[in-house]
Amino acid sequence: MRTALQQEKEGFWRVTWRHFRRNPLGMAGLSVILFLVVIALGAPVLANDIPLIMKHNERTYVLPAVITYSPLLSEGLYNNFRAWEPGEGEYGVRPIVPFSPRNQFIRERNEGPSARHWLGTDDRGRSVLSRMIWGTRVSLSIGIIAVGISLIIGIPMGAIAGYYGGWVDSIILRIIEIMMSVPTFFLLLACIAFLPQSIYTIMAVIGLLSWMGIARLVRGEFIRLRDSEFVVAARAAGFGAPRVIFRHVLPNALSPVFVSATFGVAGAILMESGLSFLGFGAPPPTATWGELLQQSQRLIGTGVWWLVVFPGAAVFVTVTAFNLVGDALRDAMDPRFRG
Amino acid sequence: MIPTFLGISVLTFLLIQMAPGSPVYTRLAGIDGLGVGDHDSAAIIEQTMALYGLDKPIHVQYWEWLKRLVFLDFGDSFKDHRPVLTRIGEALPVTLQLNLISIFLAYLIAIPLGVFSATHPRTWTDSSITLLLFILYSLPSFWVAMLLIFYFSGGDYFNWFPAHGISSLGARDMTLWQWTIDRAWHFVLPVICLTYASFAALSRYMRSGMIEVIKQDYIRMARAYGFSERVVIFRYALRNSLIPIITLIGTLLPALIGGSVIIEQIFTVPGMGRLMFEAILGRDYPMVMGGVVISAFLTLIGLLISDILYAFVDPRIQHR
Repeated sequence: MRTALQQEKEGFWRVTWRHFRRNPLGMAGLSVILFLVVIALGAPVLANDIPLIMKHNERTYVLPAVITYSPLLSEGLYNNFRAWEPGEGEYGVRPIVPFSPRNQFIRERNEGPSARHWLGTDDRGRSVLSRMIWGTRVSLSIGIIAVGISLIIGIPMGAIAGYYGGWVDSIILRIIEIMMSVPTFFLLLACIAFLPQSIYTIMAVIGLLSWMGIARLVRGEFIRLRDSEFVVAARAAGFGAPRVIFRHVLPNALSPVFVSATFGVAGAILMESGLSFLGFGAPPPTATWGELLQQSQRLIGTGVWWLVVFPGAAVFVTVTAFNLVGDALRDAMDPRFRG
Repeated sequence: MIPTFLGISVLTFLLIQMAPGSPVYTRLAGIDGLGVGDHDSAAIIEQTMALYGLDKPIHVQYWEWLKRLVFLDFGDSFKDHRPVLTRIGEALPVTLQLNLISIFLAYLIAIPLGVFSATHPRTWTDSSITLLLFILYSLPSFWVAMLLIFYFSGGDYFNWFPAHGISSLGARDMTLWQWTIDRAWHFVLPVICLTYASFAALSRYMRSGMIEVIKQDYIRMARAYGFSERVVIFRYALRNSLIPIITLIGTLLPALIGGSVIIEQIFTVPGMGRLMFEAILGRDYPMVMGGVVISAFLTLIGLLISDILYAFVDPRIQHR
């Protein structure tokens, strides 16, 4: 019985993938997301002042950015890699973008794109490209974890409301109604402004304020499924409610949730960059896309276009990629849309 | 509706009370020569706390606030000591003007575009419209706002539209006609930023709604009777396909009343979004609470109206 169920499950994913693969826009979105994930994970070796491989004091260090070496630490180099130059018989291979997001070059403030700084510098002379590469980490992690939190709250809420119905359902619906009639951005700003500033606060608050859509979706699916024969059979077999809810009904209710979660990541990334833009994002000196755009707001009329165009384009491309994947996923999972 | 309303007030009240950083300290920080550790300032803090009722237990504070709520007395703003209701009364009309224009334009463009896409499915125009709408939908509004300011009002390229405010200097001496033109000129960029995303979403709904309706039997019937395509689409199909996008008004309402914090902040529009943003920054508790409760309350009323509207345009609802 178990193997039969598992085969069924695999079948669903394989079918979804087969249909998804035929959608060129969806595949384009997926490749962009994978590319961004690689950039986010690889940020320490893509944009850093710490060399990839270096020979120093007769010793070779491989990827000192990833592995912390105690000799380098005791020399105080980790605070000052920028100033390190290979001496006699030493060498160091720097990353493609040889600047960390915190390296300030006071004499090179607000400079346009050049061979040295490919996407220009910001108002403290920091490399825009390096800050954007590290900003990818913040955007992606906030997007994904915030949606994770909204799933952790939304799925059980919706499942319980839909499965039990009655007064449980009314109470949960009322809570959803209350949360939905308060303008989200007000609440978001109020929470963020009053709580300690950190990216974990932002993840938690965005997650806590965006579970309602997921809960409503799951509730709808549970109402549709709760009287199906397989559910009645599971109940008749004497399985308890948690087992029926999570093992029998939930797997059948998840496909719209996946679609909604993909759109949710796009929404959370938009919210995060909007918050950073207003100055409520990750605390400085953390590099985020919204923070670069915020700087450009102060520099209107000075022709600093690279601070407007590049970070905004990064937000746009990321949001579009997640939206395209969500759209393609919906078409691939819903038999009515399959060509 | 009343339990929902009470829920909203409790939610906002608790949220703001749990916030660190007393409003009294924020107020005193603005007065010269007053360090918080001072002996004299401690007395002033105590007095101010008593004046605003901040020294009472939390449930007493909430109860008193709720009592005043019944008489629509939201207290005075900490910032300038003017009643919260007056300040909201100044900001709300601006936000309403801006968002009503934007919602009207969004529907005006979305309906014909959706109908066109639905009646020409799978042609290259349909696919390019779909892709274009998708791109519009994903564009972050603050980025578009910054680009528009940069290229059309910053003075770097074209200096066509004002980047700040909603009126020119001397707007009070203008005739009504001049005033309207001036206001419209200031509204161009913010309205573009507020409109493009909602019209993109609406068009997509309109297209799928129309395609769904065109598949119905009664449309085939109308065609079989030999009615022209124009009559079939506009007399028979259009009305029913409007139902889903009319209900979407409900989802647009919170934004209509709450305004867009980011867009109002960028264009320095003195609307609800900016008012609330500044209240939150200044820990102006009565203002934040009044603002959230009033906008939530107006949103609830709006949702009720859109439910009634739904039943009005779709008689099938009443039979259920």
